[in-house]
Amino acid sequence: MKQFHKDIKNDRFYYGLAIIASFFIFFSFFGIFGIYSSLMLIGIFLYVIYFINHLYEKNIDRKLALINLRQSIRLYSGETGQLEFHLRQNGWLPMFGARLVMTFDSNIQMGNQSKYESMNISTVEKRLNLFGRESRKISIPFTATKRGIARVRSLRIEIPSLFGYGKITLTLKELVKAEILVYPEIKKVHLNHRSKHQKMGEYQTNFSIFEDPITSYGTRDYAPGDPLNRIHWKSTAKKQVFQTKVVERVNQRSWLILLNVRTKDSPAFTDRIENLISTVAYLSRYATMKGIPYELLINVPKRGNVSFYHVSNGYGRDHYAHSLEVLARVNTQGLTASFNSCLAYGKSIGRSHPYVFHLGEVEQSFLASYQEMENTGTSVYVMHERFQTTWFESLKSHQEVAK
Amino acid sequence: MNTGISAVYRFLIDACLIMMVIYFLNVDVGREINVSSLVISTIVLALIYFILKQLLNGRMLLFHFVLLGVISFMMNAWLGLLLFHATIIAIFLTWRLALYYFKPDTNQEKGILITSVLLGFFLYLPAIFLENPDAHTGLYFILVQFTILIGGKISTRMMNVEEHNHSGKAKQLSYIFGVPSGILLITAGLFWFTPFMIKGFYSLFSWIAYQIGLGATPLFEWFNRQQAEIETTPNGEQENISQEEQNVLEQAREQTETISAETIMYIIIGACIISAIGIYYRHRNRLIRKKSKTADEEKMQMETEKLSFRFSDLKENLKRKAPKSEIRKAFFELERWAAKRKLGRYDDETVEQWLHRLQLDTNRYADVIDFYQTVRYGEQHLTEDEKRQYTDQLIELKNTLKQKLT
Repeated sequence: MKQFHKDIKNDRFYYGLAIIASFFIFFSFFGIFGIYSSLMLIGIFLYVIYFINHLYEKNIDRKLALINLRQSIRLYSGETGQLEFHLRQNGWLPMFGARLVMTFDSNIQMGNQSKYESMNISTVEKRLNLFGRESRKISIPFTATKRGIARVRSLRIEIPSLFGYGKITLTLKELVKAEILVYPEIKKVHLNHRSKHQKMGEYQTNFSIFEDPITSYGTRDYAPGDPLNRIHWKSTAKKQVFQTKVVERVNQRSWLILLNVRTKDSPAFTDRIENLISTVAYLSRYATMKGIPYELLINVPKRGNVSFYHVSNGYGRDHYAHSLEVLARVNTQGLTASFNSCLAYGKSIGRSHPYVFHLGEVEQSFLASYQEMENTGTSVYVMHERFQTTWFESLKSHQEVAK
Repeated sequence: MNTGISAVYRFLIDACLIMMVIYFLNVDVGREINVSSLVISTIVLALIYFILKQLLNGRMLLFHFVLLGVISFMMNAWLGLLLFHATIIAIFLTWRLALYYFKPDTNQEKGILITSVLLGFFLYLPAIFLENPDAHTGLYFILVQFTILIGGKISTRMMNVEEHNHSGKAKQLSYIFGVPSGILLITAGLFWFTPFMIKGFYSLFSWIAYQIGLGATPLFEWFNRQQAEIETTPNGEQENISQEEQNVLEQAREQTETISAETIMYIIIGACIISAIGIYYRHRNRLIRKKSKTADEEKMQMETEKLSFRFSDLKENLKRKAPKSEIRKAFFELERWAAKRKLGRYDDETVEQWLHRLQLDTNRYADVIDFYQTVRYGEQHLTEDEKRQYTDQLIELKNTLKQKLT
């Protein structure tokens, strides 16, 4: 199957010349015009031009190949990258001054070459020569301007006819397998909540009321009040004094971040969506730096067991990168899911998270669920924004403010 | 650089035209003309123009072009051209240079080429009727013109590409000179091969005519007799007067027959060629019209790079059944109505994107979007109030679209 769809446009200049050439050849048969005269030569010459032009138009794409490799480029807004294509002409027909026209999502900007923009699509063009039996690497530098996913929507090559007065347009039939992920900007938030160790967990800490009896790392002399099951009998036998096991203090530190992308009483995306996503990105980075595990729920629908965007609990750099990728994939032109279903899922997993952060609009219907979470020992924080400053307040303070 | 190359090759094409005209004007009056003097005249004029331009730092006035014209005239006169012809050359070439200087984007290639071909033919006719042996040379200017055009076009296109994309200079030059040379070689080869082709065609024509039962026709006999008698005709000096007179009469008769036989064959060949071209073009025009129509439609889609309209194809539309749900059906009807007026929703577009594309406020129609999506994707039912609200907003949306159309 051919890789390109071909469309030929010419203004029939050479057809006209071919007609004239036919008359020349016809007249050249008559003795009065001179047998085998130069009329015949001119006629043949014009015909040769016409046929070579015709053959060129017909066969230029026969052995032309665009090597469409899968590319995934990840970068932050403002950073620059480079898209690369390989164009190979396996045949002998050359392309002179061909234009490579590419349309792409406008959250990236391809240098100053952008030709025009309409809606969310921009177009860029690049001129190239490709001779016969030649392969060329085409690099198109770009700058990420806005969070999101940028894909090349279409690619076409416009080749001028060999002798002018026409154009052959080759449109790539398949999708360009290049994806550019622009991570969200990171907006700093004031996190003034104090960590309260309210839940038993598996994370070691210096100060906690919870201890993990399995993770003993030493012994100490017995003190009154120490439970009998903490006595280390082997050490006691060795030292002939009661020894108590010293165990790790643990707590649960993980976060659950819930992002409501909807506006109040409407399925549409909120105007503050970019701001909210930037805040989530900051929370993710903060949690990663502090080694806090976190889980993320966004009420944007997707296929799968969990019917909305969900980043499962985890920590570390890979987890952070995954979170940023999910945040980058939130398409504000797409659909939103109901936050109630997202909250219901959050409530079911909320028991394992001592801290819950809510970002976005808070509706009255959410408060009951959050209250239930608080009753299980979870602290719920709601994001507030005023005068370009963002901070989190506990649910109680929020309710008071709301009243 | 690119504009410079364009101007140079266009100027050379113009120069070829005027050289051809002057050549035929001289040939027609039986005046011998040296082609090299015409070429020298053109090259020297172009060189003076570039020197003058460099000296004046590209700030040339009309005065400088007048000066250029005078120099050209004097040089042509010195090269031995008639004063009238020298004036024509000087004026024409100076005018073309001034045109490319003041309007570098001037592109009159096609006009000049067509003029050259037609004018060349009509100037060639009187010269060939007068059996002037130099008549053929004039037409070679057309060859030169097209060769310059091809080379010029290839080089300008190559130069259009950014510097770092250039291949080796040698490779570029090989294409600039190789392609026109290749075309000239093919032409020369075919030209040399033409007598054999004609002979072959004649033999084939005779064979077919014989095979289909027309072998005994006078046409076939004429050709045979003509060939046989040309071979056996004795030299005129060796014949006596009575035989000579007889031969003259016979030859005159045979010539008449031969001409008419040749004419018939040529008419048949010509008619075949013309009808073949006619049929081809008729067919071709239809194809082109069809292609351009689809290309225009595709172009519109390519602007936004979307696939076909959801309801663009009427046949598809007829096949597509309306959904049973009232809510979905109402929306379906609206979409179909919009699609017929080229405002339809794309296949891969959400309702929000659609309204956004049509520059409508999505918040204003939030209920329509929400209710439709609830029913369409959530497979839920609406209350009577919600249905009423939905229908009202949908009607409002349709009215807004109507306003957009007007």
